[in-house]
Formats: sequence, C-alpha cells, structure tokens
Amino acid sequence: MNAALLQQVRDTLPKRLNAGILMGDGGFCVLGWMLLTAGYHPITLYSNTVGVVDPATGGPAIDVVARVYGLERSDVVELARLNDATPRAERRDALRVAIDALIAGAPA
Amino acid sequence: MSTPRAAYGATTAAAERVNAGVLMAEALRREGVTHLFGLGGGHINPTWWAAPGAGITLIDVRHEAAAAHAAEGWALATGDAGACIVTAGPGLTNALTGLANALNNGSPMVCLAGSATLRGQDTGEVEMIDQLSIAAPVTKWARRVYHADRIPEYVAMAFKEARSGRPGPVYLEVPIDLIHSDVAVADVVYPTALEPQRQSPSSALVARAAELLSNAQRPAVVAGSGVWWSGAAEELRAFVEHTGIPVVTRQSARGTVPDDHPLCFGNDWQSVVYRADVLLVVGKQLDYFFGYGYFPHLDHLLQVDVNPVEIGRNRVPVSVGIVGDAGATLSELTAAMKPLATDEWVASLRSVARTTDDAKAALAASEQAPVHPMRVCRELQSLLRRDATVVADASNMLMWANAGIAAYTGGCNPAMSNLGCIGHGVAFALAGACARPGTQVVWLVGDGSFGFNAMELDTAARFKLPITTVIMNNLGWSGQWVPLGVRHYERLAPGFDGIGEFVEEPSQLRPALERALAYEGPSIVNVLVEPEPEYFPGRYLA
Repeated sequence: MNAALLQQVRDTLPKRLNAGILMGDGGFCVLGWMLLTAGYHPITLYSNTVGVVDPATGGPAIDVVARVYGLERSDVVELARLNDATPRAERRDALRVAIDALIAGAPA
Repeated sequence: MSTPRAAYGATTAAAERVNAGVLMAEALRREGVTHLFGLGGGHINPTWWAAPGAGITLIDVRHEAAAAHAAEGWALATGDAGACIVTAGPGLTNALTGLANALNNGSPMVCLAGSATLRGQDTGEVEMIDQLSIAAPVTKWARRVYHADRIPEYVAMAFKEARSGRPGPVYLEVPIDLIHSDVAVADVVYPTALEPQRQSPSSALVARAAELLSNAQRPAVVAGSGVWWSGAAEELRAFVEHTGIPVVTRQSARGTVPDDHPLCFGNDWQSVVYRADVLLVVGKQLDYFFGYGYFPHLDHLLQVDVNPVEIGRNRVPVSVGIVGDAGATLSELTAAMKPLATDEWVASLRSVARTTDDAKAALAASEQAPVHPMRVCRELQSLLRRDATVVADASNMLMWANAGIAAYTGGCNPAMSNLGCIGHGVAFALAGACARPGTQVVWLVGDGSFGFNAMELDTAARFKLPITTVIMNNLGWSGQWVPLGVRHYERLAPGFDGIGEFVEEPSQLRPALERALAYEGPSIVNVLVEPEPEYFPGRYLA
C-alpha cells in the first residue's frame, strides 16, 4: 500500500465530491481524485464513469486505483460505495475516516 | 435591365461557350449535391449565381465556420458527402475549424473556395493568402484548378477523395479570374461517374474472426462511424440478430441499431467492453473516446476498418485485423457464423444496464431547482419522435446527452469529434433540418457554447427551419469555472421570428419544451440547470 499517496489524498480531498463520474460536471468522485493525485491527467479521467482512458495504464477505474495504490480491490470497491452512498454534504468527512482506516491497516 | 447575375444562368446565346460557374454548378449536381452551404463573396459569385439553375438550394449562413460545419452535418445526417462554398481569404480561414472537425471525424465533405487571381499572385491583391497551404493540414486532399475546362474533372476527383477509404474533407479552390471566365462547350468533359463499391475483406481473416467470436464466452461488438459511412445499418443489425452478440454503437453509428433493440446497449461502451472477453470493433478508431483500444483484459480484439492504418493503432495488439468495408465484412461474418448461446451473457449486461437506468431515472425525477441536467434530457426525449434529430453540442453538456438521449435512427445523433469543437451544433442542426424535412430537430447546447454560432438561428429563420434550441444553462464555462451569469438568451428568439422560453423550475420545463417543439420556426428554451449535478451513483459497482 502506498500510504504516503493515500495520506495526500486524505489531506486534499475536494470539499464537494461527485458520485459516479471520475471527473466532469460536478467535479471528481473519490476514485477520480485518487487517480489525479497519483498523476493521471484530467484528460484521462474526463467524462468517464467506469474506466480510465489511458493508452498504457488505463482500464476499469477500480482496478487501476487498486493497482496504483497497492490496495485490495475490495477496499477500493468499499471506498467507491461509500462515496456514492453518502449524502454529498457528508461525503468528504466520511471518506477521510475511511482512508484513515486504510492507512492504519484496518478495512475501509 | 440586364444584371450580371442573369448572365451566369446559362451558356451563351450560341451555346458554344459556358461560364465556369455554370460548369461548377453542373458538376456539383452530377455528384448529387442538392444543398450547398455557404456565404457569398465576389470570388465565388459565378458558382453562387449558377447553383439554383442546377437545382441546388443555397443555404447562406452568417459565418463561414457554420458553412463548413453544416457541410459535415449534411454528411452526418445523410451518410453522403456534404458541400460548402466560401469566398477567398477570411472566407476560407473562417471555415478551417469546420474542415478540421470533419477531418478528425472522418466525415466526407467538399469545401469549394474562391481565391485571388492566378495572374495577381504576390502583388498584394485583396484577399490573397496561400490558401492551399492553409487548407492542406485540415483536409485529406487540397487542390487548385488552373484551367476552367477542368472544373468538372476536379469536382469529380474531390468527391471521390472525400468518399473513398476513410472519408474526410477535401478542398478545391478556383481563382477568381478562372471562375469568371468561360470555356468552349466542346472542351468540357464530365468524368464517368463511379458506381458505389465496397471493399471486400479477406475470406481467411473473416473465417478466423468468426471462429474466435464463436468460441468466446462474452463476445461483443462496438460499431463506429465506419458502419454509418458504409451504409451498413442493415448488415450490423442482421449480424447481431443472427449471432446474438450484444452491440454498442458509437459516434456516427448511433442509431444504426436502435437503442431499444434487445441486443443494443446504446453508447455505453465502458460497461460492455470491460466485461467482454472477445471484442469485435467495426469502423471505430482506437481513440480517446474508446480508451485508445487498450483493453488488456480481452482474450482477443478483432478489428475491421476500411483504412489499414487504423488496425492496431496505438500499438494495441489485434488478434485479427480485417481491412475491408464494414457492411461487406459484417455480411461475410454473418454468413460464416452460427447463432451463439449468448442469453446469459446478454442478461448479465442487461442487469448492469438496469442499475444504470435506475440511477438515471432517479436523477430525471429530481424536483430540484436549478433543474438537474438528466431531467432536461429525459423530458426532451419523452417529447421526441423516433426519427428526431438531436444535435448534442459538446463539453459537459454532451456527457448528459450521451447518457440521457437515445438514438433510434441512423444519422439522428450527429457526432462530435475528438477535436473538441463547441458551438458547432447549430450548423449540424441546420443541415439536419435540410436533410430531414418534417422531422423534429433539436440543438442541445450549453450556455457557453451557445455564444459561438447563435447567429445561425437567423439562417434557420430565413429558411424556415424549425430548430428547437435547448440551452442547458449552468451560468458559465463549467470546465474552467468562468462565470457568465444569468443571461436571457431566449429573448433572442423573437428577433429571429421565433419563440423563447425561460425555465427556472422543473414544473416549467415540459410545457416550455412542448410549446417550442410545436412552433414552426426557431425556438429557444433557456433552462437554468444545476451547476454541480450528481452523476450516476453506483456506476462503478454495477
């Protein structure tokens, strides 16, 4: 697990996170933000709802995040589920708690 | 009193000599041109004046960019090459973006231009610039005519180039001293017209592709613009119905299999492609809009394209690359395959699609104000007939249109290109209204993009083209968050013989759309939409 990168995500999460799209109208979801933080260009994320568009390292967003961050796929699924199931106003705080738990080695 | 215009309507009294503009118009007619989009100018007057005599309707627009975009729009709506005419100098430079967009899209169109005199090169003549060099990078073929009697030959070449291989825009300029000249009728030769032909694929490669598809657990087809340019809607439908393989339609192939067909999964390539094990890509570039074709999870990627350069683009490994026409190849694949047992696979995809549809329906039912963009799309969709043309402009608004507007007929959803143009949709709508009279035509656009070519609503008014403009107004350039504020764009409509509607609440939306769609002229529905809308919760998990 890349704890330093996760810590960076935790500390920079946008105040308003979207649900269901990596980047587009309404901003980023947590997966989109994680990918941007890991160095993916916004153009690889824009308007995509499932996959990362990149000629070399793209693919389903959950798989790409799991690979880049060294996380279990199930943990990434849980982050995405939490993102989408939490009301927008509470989304960032809920995700911060979940990311803290991942860094500490506990399940998300 | 005799006017210069009258002199260009026919050959001379003795019928022994013919004006070059008349030659040009006749050559266009022989290529099947019925509508010529353009903006007049002294360098092109002879063609302009002669076109009606050849049975060609001139659609004169308000900016040359719209002329070029409309020529592409004609191709996107009809499947055959469109045509535009622009004057010299700024006339051509204004049209360049339209040419670039068509090149990126692979849309066949012919751009005719006037240019400075041959004799006056390098003298400082008005509207003189090296147009050929400017046009070359944004077209697949660019030429100048040096002898007026060769105009029909060059026009025929232009259309052959535009229509052949991977289609695209071509450029043909005629200097003003040539187009104002006349030639002996006896010197004019019209080239032999080509019958439509399809490039047949290799039978051995078709057999190999059929074998891999037949052995797949989760086969799928992605159909791209090549299907549309091939006129292969029937072949595509026959292939999926015979084999049972699910299909996704992209870009100009939208609607070639209707979205509500049991085997069609609309344009949602991500949900299908990432679940498939063997993928057949027909006439679709491996580009940004398609993940660059990089799908390492696939057992086999099979690709069909009329252009060999497209096979394996971006170093993507392709198990079978077939160079051939989409329709011809699909026909041979259909003949080479037996029906497959895909019910379970299709049902699993349908389950995923239902989850997405449920999320969309929830957003579409939102009573929030400003209005949720998905509600705009779905309310609009519910009022459209199956043959309606919906031009979704670009940028963030396009994202919602892709998700919320269905395609039921080929050519009804003119595609944007990778170039990223915005504001060009009104020209596509003009072309769609010309190509499909009597059908509903909607230009769906953001408030930022609306400003680019809004004056073309005047063109719609002059030609009595009932284009319904629906502005998804999120009060700014959302990509960069540059505010534009509340602007009453709908108030422009009365100036163009149209009606305008301003929508702030969801309850106002449907009646406003109904009035706009019923109006026999241009209408503008300006809808204030949520600037930061939720998308589809659960999409990754479906």
